[in-house]
Amino acid sequence: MIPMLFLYPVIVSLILFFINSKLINILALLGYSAIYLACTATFFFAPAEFTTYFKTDTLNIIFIAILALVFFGVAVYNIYFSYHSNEIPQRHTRYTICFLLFVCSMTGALLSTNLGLFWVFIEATTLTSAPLIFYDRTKSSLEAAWKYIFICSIGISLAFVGIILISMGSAQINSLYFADLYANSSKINLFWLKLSFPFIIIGFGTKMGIAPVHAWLPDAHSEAPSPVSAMLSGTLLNCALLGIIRIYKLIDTAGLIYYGKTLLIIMGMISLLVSAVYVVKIKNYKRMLAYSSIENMGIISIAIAIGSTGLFAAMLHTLAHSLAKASFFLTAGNILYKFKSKDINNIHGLLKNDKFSAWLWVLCFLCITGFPPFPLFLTKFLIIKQMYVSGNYVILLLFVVFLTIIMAGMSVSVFKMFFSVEHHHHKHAPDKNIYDLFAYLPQCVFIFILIVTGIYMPSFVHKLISLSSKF
Amino acid sequence: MIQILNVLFLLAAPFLFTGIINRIKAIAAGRKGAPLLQQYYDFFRLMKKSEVISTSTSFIFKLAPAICLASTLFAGLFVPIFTHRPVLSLEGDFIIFAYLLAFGKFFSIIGSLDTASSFEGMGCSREVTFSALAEPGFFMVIASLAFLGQVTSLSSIIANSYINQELSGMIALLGAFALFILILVEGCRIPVDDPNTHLELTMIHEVMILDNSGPDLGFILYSNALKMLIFSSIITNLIIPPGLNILLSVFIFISLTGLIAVFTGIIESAIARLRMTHVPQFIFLITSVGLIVAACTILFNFGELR
Amino acid sequence: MKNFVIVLFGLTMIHVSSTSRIEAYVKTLAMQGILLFTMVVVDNKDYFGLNFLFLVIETLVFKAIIIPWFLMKIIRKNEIFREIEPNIPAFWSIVISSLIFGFGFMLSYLSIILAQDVNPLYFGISISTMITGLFIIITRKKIITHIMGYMMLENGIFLLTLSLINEMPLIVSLGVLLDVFIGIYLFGLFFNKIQATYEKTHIDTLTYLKD
Repeated sequence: MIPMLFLYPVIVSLILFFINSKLINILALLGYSAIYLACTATFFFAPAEFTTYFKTDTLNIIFIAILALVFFGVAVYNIYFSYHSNEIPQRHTRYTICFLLFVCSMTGALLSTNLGLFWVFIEATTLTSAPLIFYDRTKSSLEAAWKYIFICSIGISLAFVGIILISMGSAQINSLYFADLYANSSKINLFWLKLSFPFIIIGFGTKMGIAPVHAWLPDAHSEAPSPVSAMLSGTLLNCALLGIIRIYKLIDTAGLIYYGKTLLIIMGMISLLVSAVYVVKIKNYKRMLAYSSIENMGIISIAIAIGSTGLFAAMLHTLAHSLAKASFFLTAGNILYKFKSKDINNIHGLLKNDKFSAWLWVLCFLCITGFPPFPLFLTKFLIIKQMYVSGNYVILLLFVVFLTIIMAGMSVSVFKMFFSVEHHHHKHAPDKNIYDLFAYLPQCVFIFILIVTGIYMPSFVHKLISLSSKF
Repeated sequence: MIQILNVLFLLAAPFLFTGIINRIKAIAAGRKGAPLLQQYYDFFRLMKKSEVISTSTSFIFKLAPAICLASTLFAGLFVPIFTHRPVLSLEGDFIIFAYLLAFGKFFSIIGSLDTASSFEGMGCSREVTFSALAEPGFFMVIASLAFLGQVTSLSSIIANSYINQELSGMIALLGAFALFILILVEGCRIPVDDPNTHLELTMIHEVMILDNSGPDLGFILYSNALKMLIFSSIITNLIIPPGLNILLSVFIFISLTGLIAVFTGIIESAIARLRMTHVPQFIFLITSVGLIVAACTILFNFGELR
Repeated sequence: MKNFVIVLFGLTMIHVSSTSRIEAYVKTLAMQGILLFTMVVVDNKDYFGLNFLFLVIETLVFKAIIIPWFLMKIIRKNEIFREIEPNIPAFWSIVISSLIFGFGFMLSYLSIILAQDVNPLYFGISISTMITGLFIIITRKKIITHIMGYMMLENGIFLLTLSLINEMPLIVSLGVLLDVFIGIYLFGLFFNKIQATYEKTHIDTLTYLKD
């Protein structure tokens, strides 16, 4: 099944290059996401393997599942987006080809068993997603795409330095497969491993979006078109997270666990601080969502570093954040299309004009900031409990303070948009048609999944998450 | 016996060094140029003249050129000239050497500040900046060579810089590069300072000696040339391996010194003087290269450079 | 011979941090490519293997010829010749660059004590080159200089891979080449777009998106 996931994008991209039709593009993307869901379902029953380079195991099955779900939702939303986008078919075809290759490279990164191959695929995700950010061809999206590609390239180079240093330390093992590294971790020279971990964290952290290397994230996520934003925020950050988790496990088996934890907590706390500072007075609602992504990646880092229950919380947080953030960005896309402005102060009369989007907007906000019954409440609760149990009171205090500030800042903006009234009636109601259904359907499905997971987690979901948290 | 030759060389050769430089500059400019011994004639002419001393000066102004000359000559006695055995040699004498030169420079600076003229003050501030920037570089080069050979007298530092073929070649080249820049700084040559300019605002060293005349001026010109000769001797002895036949080493030494003079002349003719704000950058190159030399010698001393 | 070439490589980085002419940066990049080629040729035991051929092509053809030619074309077309107002004066640039070299060598001295399987001169100069490349990216304003600082960062990483005692697998060399080649291609593409849109090549123009 794995070869299908790689062959489809390559072949279909070639075909699409010669056929320039929007309809075929939309169908190709939908087809790929359907195949993806089907393959993921088969992975649940039996682990798959394709050559020695690609393999599903208990850790990356959850990431693949997240990618499949989010991709399916985004592909459905893409129907609505492409229908209303006024680009010529050639540009839309280029967009679809880049999208397919982007998902393909993310798949390669998630499935790879070799550290070097993982790095190559992460580099490929940068290169394939840069044209996607530049879809609108405005000045600001050019600036955002340049910052994205430049900062991420530097980050990836630093991650490569980290890989080289690990390779120096593991000269006796002479292989970059994760399984070999874990098995022979006692033979790794600890000096090189210690030196490489900051490089890996900064390098892959640049792709993941934790501060202080987050500079590209607000610009790229806000200037990209909405389906692309949802994919970037919901799935790309997870790929980089997987890299950090795998190396963290190596650090753990080599015995430097305290060192790894310290670095992760520092980066997580700085992410929370940066997010808290910027989200309070934000003017652009898509940037607000981007800073929320930074905050959630910080929470995941802290959760991984806290350990034991925190690991379960981290995996659940990854799942819930991806689904919630994807629906948040898609709803933002609806609002952007209706009101043509990214400024919070320009959104008037949301409830009157687009009731469904308004309620989705508030529901997504409640989900992201951890109100019960959504699962993000559960994860934050577990993290706080674990911090209290293990006695890290200072971190607990800072964590709670930052989260409160962020929630307050976001709620001001969200509710300002929800409750603001139109002073004079603007005639900006486009005619409704069947495609509008696709603007709401993915978000509803995601929120339904989240509510079910939060209220009563099905046993297979629970098993999935706890298996993956025992990495 | 060889020490007498050392002292004679120190006394007689500096003006020949500057003579060669001026001749090369003239040839590069297409002129015939002054005779090689012109600087000697100028020196003896200045010795016969009487001095004009400004009324706004004090005794320092009269003392300074003599002190400058004396300290430079004394510093020159520590430098190995033809062979690797200098006239004077103590443990740790490279510090005495550096500070003797600094002593002379200090007195020349306060001597020219003493004239209470604003031109001299401007020149002094520039000169002091450049010397201050050059000093750590010099120490870095010499100290790293000292660390390499585990010896501390200037002559044995230079003598022991020969380790193995490749490494000593590299360190000698880097050290020579750094010290050559030091020649340009201490001798006030292009690209640091233009000795032929007649505009006071662009002068650095010449403006300091505007008020000197007669024998004092002769002493200052002599000590300037002597400083250049001293540093070029250090470079030459870094390059020559020790323990050669005495006639051979004398011959190689004299020809290398001449070569360095020619090279200085070529550099003077080929590039323009740097903008005043870019000169500190140029001088800091000494420290940068010295840092690399230091790093290489430290790494070598742990037996790790293969 | 090898040590001499590596030290020369380090000196090129000092030269870059003190100059303000952009053509000097490009010539330094070409020089670094040639130095890396020398190191690859002198270092290798098995000539005519696939890995060796690949490395030779990568250093000599890409780093020394194609990429400097491409960058020169961009510079001549857009007529950017000088980096006039960097963020810090050039004197402090060279001071900080020397301090970075000092730091890199301290790190390699630590590596001698704590681990014994790498050539310390290689390691020190490559770490210094990487940090100096990052420093150039941070302190310069023109986008083309940022691109060249990135290229120097890549050269430092390449030098680090050369210093490994065991051979890196081919796939990683492929990765480095992918990084460099596609990166430069995309950089050039975006650079032309930025030039066409903004008509200036300062990053001061890229400050529209902020909070």
